[in-house]
Amino acid sequence: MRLIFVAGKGGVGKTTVAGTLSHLLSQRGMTALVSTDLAHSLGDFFSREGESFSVDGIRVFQPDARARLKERVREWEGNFFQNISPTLREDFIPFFRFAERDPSNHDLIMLEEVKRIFLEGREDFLVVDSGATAQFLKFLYLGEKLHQWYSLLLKWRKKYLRLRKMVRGKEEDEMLEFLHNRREENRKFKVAMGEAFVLWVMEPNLFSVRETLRFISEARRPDFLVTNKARENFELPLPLREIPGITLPLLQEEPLFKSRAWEKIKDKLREILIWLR
Amino acid sequence: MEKIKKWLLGFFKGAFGDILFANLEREARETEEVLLTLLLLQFSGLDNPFAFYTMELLPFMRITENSLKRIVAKEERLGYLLSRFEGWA
Repeated sequence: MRLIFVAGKGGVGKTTVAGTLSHLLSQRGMTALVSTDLAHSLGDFFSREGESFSVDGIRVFQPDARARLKERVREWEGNFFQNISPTLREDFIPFFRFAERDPSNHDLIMLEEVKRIFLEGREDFLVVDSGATAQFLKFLYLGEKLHQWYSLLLKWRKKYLRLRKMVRGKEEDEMLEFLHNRREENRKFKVAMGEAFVLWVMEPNLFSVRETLRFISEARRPDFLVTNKARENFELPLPLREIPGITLPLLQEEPLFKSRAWEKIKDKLREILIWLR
Repeated sequence: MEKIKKWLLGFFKGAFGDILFANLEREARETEEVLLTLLLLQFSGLDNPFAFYTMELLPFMRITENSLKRIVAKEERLGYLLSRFEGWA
């Protein structure tokens, strides 16, 4: 499965580019589209409602991070409290309540969602309409970090099981299997993130040189630039000029999906498909 | 010869087996507690991605009041030692 990330500042047209691109890709193979933006707008673009739906054979996901996080934390809390004494339970409850509201966990829930669809492996392309730049950087590095983290935990669990085996004989261990699976998942995701195709969408009126340069220096240079809602006299800063890119036509018509104006965008975005090979 | 060997093995097992197994058991428990410490150190973190992922691992661990006491005692001892060496750096 090929991962394609669409990143950029808020309001530059990431969703339009991601939606149109996945429509083009669906003619080449099975495509899924996920929005990891907390304020997702894929539903508005396709004029559909719900957390997941399909349009012209594209599976579209726009998970509600808050609800998913609450659901997940409650599930873990339930599992944890099954085998712990009631006196200790009270010490741990506040942490779980806090984790439900921690905004940094929203990004992780979204990452898990992307990972889940990626590991299902049903599609040939997975287009990710990503949120803020910081979130994208997290996605880029976390697979590798988690791989290291699970390796460390596995090392200690194996050590413990070796000692326990000497005393009580061989036993099945659920945690060992769980850690193995998690490490393997993150290894696969890490490799896929290394090969992911990254599109950086810009808009002259909202152009932030700092954020774009940060993106290039901290993450890695994007594979492609899209200048959306473009003015004619917009000039890119010097480090960006080497990166291939296109300029989309300025459009006023609403709603965009499947309108005549949309065809113009599609024509322009076909250039990206050449680079995707 | 075989009989003597068997008798000697039985003797050593009977005499030192308990100590050996008790030590092994303690070692196993301590190793398990290292893992628990690694998890608990991350668990209460703010804006820490690992805090999120420890939540699904905690149910696999055996957490008792005694194990928590031992972990805290170890950390306190470590803190005390570090405070002694603070001026040296």
